[in-house]
Amino acid sequence: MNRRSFLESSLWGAAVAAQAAPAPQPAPSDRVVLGVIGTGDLGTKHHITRKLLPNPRVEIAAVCDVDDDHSALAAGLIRQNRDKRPGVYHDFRRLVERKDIDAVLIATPDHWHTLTAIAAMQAGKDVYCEKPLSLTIEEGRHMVGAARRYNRVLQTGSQQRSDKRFHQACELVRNGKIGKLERVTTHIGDVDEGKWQEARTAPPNLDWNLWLGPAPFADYRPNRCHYQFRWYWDYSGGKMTDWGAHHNDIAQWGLGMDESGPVSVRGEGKISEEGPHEVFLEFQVWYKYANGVELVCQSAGENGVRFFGVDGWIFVNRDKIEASNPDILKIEPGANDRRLYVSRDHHENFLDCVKSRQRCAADVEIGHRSATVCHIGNIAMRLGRELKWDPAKEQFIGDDTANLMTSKPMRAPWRLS
Amino acid sequence: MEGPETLTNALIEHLNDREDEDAHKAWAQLEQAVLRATAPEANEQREELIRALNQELVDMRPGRLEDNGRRMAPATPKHPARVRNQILMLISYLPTPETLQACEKALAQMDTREMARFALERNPSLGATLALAGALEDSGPEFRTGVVNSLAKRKHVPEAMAALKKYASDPDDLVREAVAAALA
Repeated sequence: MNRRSFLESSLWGAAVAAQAAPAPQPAPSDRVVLGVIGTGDLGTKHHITRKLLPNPRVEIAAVCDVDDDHSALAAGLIRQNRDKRPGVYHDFRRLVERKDIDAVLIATPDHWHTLTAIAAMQAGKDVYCEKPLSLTIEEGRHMVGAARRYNRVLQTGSQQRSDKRFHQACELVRNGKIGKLERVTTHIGDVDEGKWQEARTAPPNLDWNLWLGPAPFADYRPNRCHYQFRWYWDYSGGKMTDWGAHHNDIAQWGLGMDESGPVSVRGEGKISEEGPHEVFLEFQVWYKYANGVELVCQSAGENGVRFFGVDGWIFVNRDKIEASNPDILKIEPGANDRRLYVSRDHHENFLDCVKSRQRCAADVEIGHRSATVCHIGNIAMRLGRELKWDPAKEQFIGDDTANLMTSKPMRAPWRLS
Repeated sequence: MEGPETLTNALIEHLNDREDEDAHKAWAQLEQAVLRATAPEANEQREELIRALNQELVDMRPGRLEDNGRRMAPATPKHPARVRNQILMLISYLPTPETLQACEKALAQMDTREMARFALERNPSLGATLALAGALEDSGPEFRTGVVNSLAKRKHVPEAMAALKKYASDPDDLVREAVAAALA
């Protein structure tokens, strides 16, 4: 670990220690032994520091990253706060072999979600996997299949499902409190064009070949890797999948389409002429559902989700919930109203489900379907034409090229299985 | 010297540009043109693109006399491997009998065979299956594993399954595992 990493880990360690007020020790039967795969910013700062270390139910037994600096930093934090030395791995296959680990948390780049999650489930682990659940629609369907085949719990990291504002908005919409739903708009932000950097040798702490994994070989450039991978098709789907996996997920929830999706999609997007970013910088995508409701997903506008019914609207984001008439928000659910899945903490919900064997708030099918909404939006924009989607068969109707884009070949030896 | 035949040929030339921005500009235009040309009504554009992409993928520069005229150096591909692999990525969206031939040639070359495999994986024709099956012979274990994984996506194609069964006892662990997973 270098000096900067050590200092950072000390600061984070102190922050965690300050947060972690003495809590009652959970019964051994309530504890979950966890491995974390992907310990970059999201894995370490968000999951380990804010969510896992302060939780006495969690024991982090192992960390894994293809960037050795990342895994060393995460391991240092865990050592400082729990006085236990976690196993440190470079290759996730070694971590999932460990029999003492109950579950894994996956915070890798998107192109690694499916392979790591399926390997973990095959090894008998439950999985908390960051959103977007998949890089392609085919991958998502394989994840669902693996979760069901191996009887594993999978929580998609779309934590807005455990936020009371989003829950309230969707419950009100589902119960007709703004009248018949007509339209939903999601606003998910834009992307800049990026700046070119020279191709160079990857730093010694980073295994670039393993970072690429199933993706086609590409020269290493720092801004193609950590965090910035989101703006390249080989690894991600841009804002459409990054934030779309959150807000389109809420749209699906409010629409009651958790196990389905739209039936048509068309879109317009602006790409960078000179690069390096490949994904859509600004965009607008129109979806139609079988019940006639329109979903419009766009980069512009205040970040959040807006539901429009014939009698009013509700707007919700992570800071607020608003309605055309504030009284709508005061409505308490009636005896005959449909109640939606209640979770007030996404990680706790996962831990509860690991123990209860019930499905999570953002079960694998939900995560897959929400990611699919995003993927078909990207495909429609790339093809520049309206597409018909069959959500039951999970195929485009009458468009071979669009169907071809629902999967991606993988570099050997990686495969979906 | 003759100029490029079509706009597509010209854009492919620009993929060789030293400046990243210029090469990216050509790539972005080509990718958009190819994807838009997959629309049913875009027959003419599609045919023109296929012709140009195929041609640029397989074109060779003639060999030159070297060593004071005593030796003829072999012909070399017109474009470097990076550009030929980009062409193959574009061709993968156009799985036709015409592109199949070009992919087969690229599959025989070390520096383009992986992307040729990607393109053939996306081509559902029997010809593509047979090309992939043929590539299992005389290739190293890593590439063979990739080909097995591509053929594994054709579980409904008897020729693919027959080819995989031949490798069930492959001496390499990775290949054997991949075949076992494919046949499971």
